[in-house]
Amino acid sequence: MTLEEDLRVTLHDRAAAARPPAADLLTEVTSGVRRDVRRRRLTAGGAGVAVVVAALAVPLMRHDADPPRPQPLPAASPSLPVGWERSMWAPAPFFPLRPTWVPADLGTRPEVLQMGPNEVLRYERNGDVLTAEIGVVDPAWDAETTGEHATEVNGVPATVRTAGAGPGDRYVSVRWQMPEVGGWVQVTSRGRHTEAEVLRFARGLDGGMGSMAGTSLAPFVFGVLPVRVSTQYQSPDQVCLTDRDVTRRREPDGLCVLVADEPFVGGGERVTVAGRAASLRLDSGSLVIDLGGRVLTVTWDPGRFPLSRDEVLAFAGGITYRR
Amino acid sequence: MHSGFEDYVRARGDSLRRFAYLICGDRHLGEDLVQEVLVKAYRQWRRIEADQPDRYIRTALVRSHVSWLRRRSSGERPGTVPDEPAAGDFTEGQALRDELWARLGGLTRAQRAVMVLRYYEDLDDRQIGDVLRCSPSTVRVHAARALARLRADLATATIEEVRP
Repeated sequence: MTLEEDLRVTLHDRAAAARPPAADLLTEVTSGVRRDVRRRRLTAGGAGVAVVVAALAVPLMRHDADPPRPQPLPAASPSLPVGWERSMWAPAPFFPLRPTWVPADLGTRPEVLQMGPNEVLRYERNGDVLTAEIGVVDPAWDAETTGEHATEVNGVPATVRTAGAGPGDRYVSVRWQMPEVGGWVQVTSRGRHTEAEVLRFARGLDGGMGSMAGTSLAPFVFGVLPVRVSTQYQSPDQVCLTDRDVTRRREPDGLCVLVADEPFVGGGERVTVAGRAASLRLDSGSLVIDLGGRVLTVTWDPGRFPLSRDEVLAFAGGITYRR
Repeated sequence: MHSGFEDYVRARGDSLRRFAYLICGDRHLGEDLVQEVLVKAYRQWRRIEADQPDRYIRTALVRSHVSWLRRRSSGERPGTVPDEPAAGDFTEGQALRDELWARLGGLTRAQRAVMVLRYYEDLDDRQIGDVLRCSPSTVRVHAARALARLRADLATATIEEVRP
């Protein structure tokens, strides 16, 4: 049997053999529902206080760390949900280190990505990818690395991890700490570049501390936003916004907007957003808008980032897709 | 309590428990997950009931398990949940499947979910992407990495077994 066939048999065997637990599920769930109802009643009683605290805290947090944001436009159209504002905002993260040497075959126009609190400078051409990531969260190593050794980057101890058989299938990653920026720097190459080239690029990142190596405007402009959010993630086809509670996650999280080259498939509640057909699933947190051969998807976690129908539609209706 | 909800839990509870067990790799974690998701679902049961509740609940089980918040709050780490062997004859095939089950615990939660959705639920990549809120190409990446990891792990286990 193939591995896939073994997997199929294994999973079905395990599911069939799973013993029923001692507790009755309905009894347990009924108890849970009662506890949930009580908790929500208590929470509803304290909601007024929570809203006031959040409203006061937002300007301070934004002043502290966000790039300047344009002032909201005068409200000319119907009123927005409470806690939302009009704006014309396109996130634009910047990478704070300037590379002084880049492999010639990677070109000179990198993308800048936001991954939680980390920023990433990314070169990609013909399947070769070279990234530099900086931030307070440890960047990830590839799970399949096979080699590790020590080196130095401009006098700072660093670790190199490698994998892959040779040109075209080579993984090289070097990581070191940069206390002056309060975190890690990691340079990673996937493709043809050698460890010597990766280290040369990494060591060259020292030139220009504080200068702006590059920035990439988000693919979307947001015209209607919750006041409490900032960029959590940005790539060429996706932007996620979140509140300040979750800042250490590198993966997309929060209120996310993504464009994909996929056909629109209906389902859920049929709605219209800016004249385009869309499918809304409020319970599971998704709104898919037909762009004609592509779809723009808005997703959120209803449990952690609850949005009303009006809020979702106001947010989506204010998005401008730039590509 | 809503009678339709009670009927659903009675009729589909065991099936949901089995599915959650495969997703989590641990019977007790799976049980907690099912209860947590059903309690949340009850809040919006009227709407859920009108639109394929089984699909909704299974999707919620996967998303909830894969989500970072639950992982943090549950205080456990993925990949270390060995479980008892399945009942049955201890043949070579059974031994392999026990090994395979144990090795599934070494995958990331997303990779494991893709394996279960593909090989237990028989969903295609697009459907799996809908469940995990990612593109079909991301699903294929998860699947390829999971299968590569399992192959490598099983090969390592075989080598260790034949060593004197």
